[in-house]
Amino acid sequence: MAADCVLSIEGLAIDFLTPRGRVHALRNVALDVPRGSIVGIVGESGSGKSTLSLAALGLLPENAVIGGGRILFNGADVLTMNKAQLRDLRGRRVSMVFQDPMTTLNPVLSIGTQMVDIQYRDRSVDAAQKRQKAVAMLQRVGIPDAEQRLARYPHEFSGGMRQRIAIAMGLLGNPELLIADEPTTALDVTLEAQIIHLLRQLRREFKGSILFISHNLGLIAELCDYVVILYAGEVVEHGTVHDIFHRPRHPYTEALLVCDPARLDDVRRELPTIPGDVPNLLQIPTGCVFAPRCPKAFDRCRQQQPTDHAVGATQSARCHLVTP
Amino acid sequence: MSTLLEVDRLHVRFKAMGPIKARLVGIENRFLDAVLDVSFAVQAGSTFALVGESGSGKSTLGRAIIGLVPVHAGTVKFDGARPLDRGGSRLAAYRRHVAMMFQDPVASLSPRLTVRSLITEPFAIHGLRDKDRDAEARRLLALVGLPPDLVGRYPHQLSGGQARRVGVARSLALSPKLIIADEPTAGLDVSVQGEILNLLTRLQRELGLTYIIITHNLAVVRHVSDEMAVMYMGRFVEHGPTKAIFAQAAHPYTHGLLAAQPVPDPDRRRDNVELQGEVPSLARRPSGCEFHTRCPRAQELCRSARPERQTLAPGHDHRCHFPLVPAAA
Repeated sequence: MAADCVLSIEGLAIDFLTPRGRVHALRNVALDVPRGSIVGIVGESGSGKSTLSLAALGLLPENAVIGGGRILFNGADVLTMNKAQLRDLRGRRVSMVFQDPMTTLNPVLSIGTQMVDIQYRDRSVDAAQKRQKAVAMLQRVGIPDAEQRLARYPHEFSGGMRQRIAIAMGLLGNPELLIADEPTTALDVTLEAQIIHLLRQLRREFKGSILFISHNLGLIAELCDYVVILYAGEVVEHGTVHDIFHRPRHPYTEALLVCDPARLDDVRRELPTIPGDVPNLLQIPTGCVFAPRCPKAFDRCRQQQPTDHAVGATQSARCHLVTP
Repeated sequence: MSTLLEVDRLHVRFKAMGPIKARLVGIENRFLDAVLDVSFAVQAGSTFALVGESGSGKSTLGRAIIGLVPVHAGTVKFDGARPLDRGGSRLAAYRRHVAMMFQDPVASLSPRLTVRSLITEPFAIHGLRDKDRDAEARRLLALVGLPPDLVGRYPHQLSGGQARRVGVARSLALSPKLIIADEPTAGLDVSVQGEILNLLTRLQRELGLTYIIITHNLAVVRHVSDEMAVMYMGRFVEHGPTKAIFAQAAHPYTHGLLAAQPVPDPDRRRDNVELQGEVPSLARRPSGCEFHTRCPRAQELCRSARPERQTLAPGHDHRCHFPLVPAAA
């Protein structure tokens, strides 16, 4: 990938200490977000995609243990930052849009108050100017009558409008990186299409980078430049969006694409599935993590863990079959 | 095939406010009409899909059919009888034949009951106390492809896919003829989604079940349903064979919904968004055709006159003044 990266994660390992034992949530994860690009992280529930995004902001819960690796934001390691440095990072240089806009907005404050409060760092302008900035940003994300709406409370907006407000708040600090964790899961398809369109427009206007987390392959294909496929806490494949959708090399990526009913051209009652279950992250099996469910697995897959193999200049897969 | 369920001009109305407040606020219609003038029939052994955005009335329609919300006008006919009309005894019998699968399976399973109690609760409710509940629970779990030793577990010990299957097992407990499934795959990963849909298909084949599936996932509708209806603000705006509607949608709203589905191919990105805005409030229904505020093809007539139901082909009808497909001459 490109040399100039806003975010660069190297060899990241994160465990969670639970009463049942140590959950190995992420293992040897590497990821680059080139400046100005949109990188998508695809993974099923429990693959570690949310853990990864929380780690990038230093927001991991207390029972998380960093087993190794670095999270470099413009070259500085987030994992070794002190509280003051983290405060400077969050909300200003990196912001986050969460899945459910109802729980991100404070229900007892008007959105105007919240949008002014979030600019607390900026001491050079007064409250009236901050309100103006809030209005301009709301207009930017497509909220009509923004001036009047500032006095309204979150419950007076529909789900789609609330998510637009959450995005507007995320962009107020003019961040270099916006992390969007399943931002459209709670919305209807029609609103989803509108939000994706909005994110694409905003990327052009703000020249920021976006880390987009989703389990919806359609949205990833619509929006992203690069795609990272996460399975059971490992990056099994990454590449450009064209690599992943047209030339997938890892059997898991292939299986995911086959399972998407939107990709089936012919109508059929019996839908393809990936048999088996996600491995128990308390005890990672030896060999490849996907081997127990992989239709192409052979003896070596069950004994030896594969390493990342490059496929061309932009793509890489963690699979024995890709060995040159 | 015979007709199992027949719904005729069904109208569900909720009271939004009292008459005095309505006058003070200046709203003429103090009722919310969640379902308006809906008529359709479902053939035994087939799958009927209801689609639409949130607030379109699809879940309310499902609940009205099973008698969970009161019907304001219209009739529901099941197997030739009219179970929702006055008289409670027939309603209880009807509810044995019609089961509901609710949206969020984890939320719809009581956290304090074991899987055994959860899936055999319908027997207690319907007074079938002589059944061996443990054996029944194991039989039902086997039917949905779960290991029988799950009977002693609690809902929080199940995965999302397993919880769905328990929900399916519970709806099958009384051997119903019709199952109304509200968003059976929402929130599931694609691989698990396929498993649940395949399970429903297998059960339909083996037990001769009839389904009404309520969903906003059109990719799923295309694969699993025989007939479908698109709802907007409580009305059917288009209704017909799934194949015909996917081949060529007549109503601009259906077309917009289909176009809003993301295509998992980076070479086919859409540059424009066909359906802008959101569903208007039911308290302030737009005049004429309710969709005219968002319709890319709306004209003067759409703002003033409500389109009546028009038949495009046998079994395929729509409500649009300017349909995208001209009726066959």
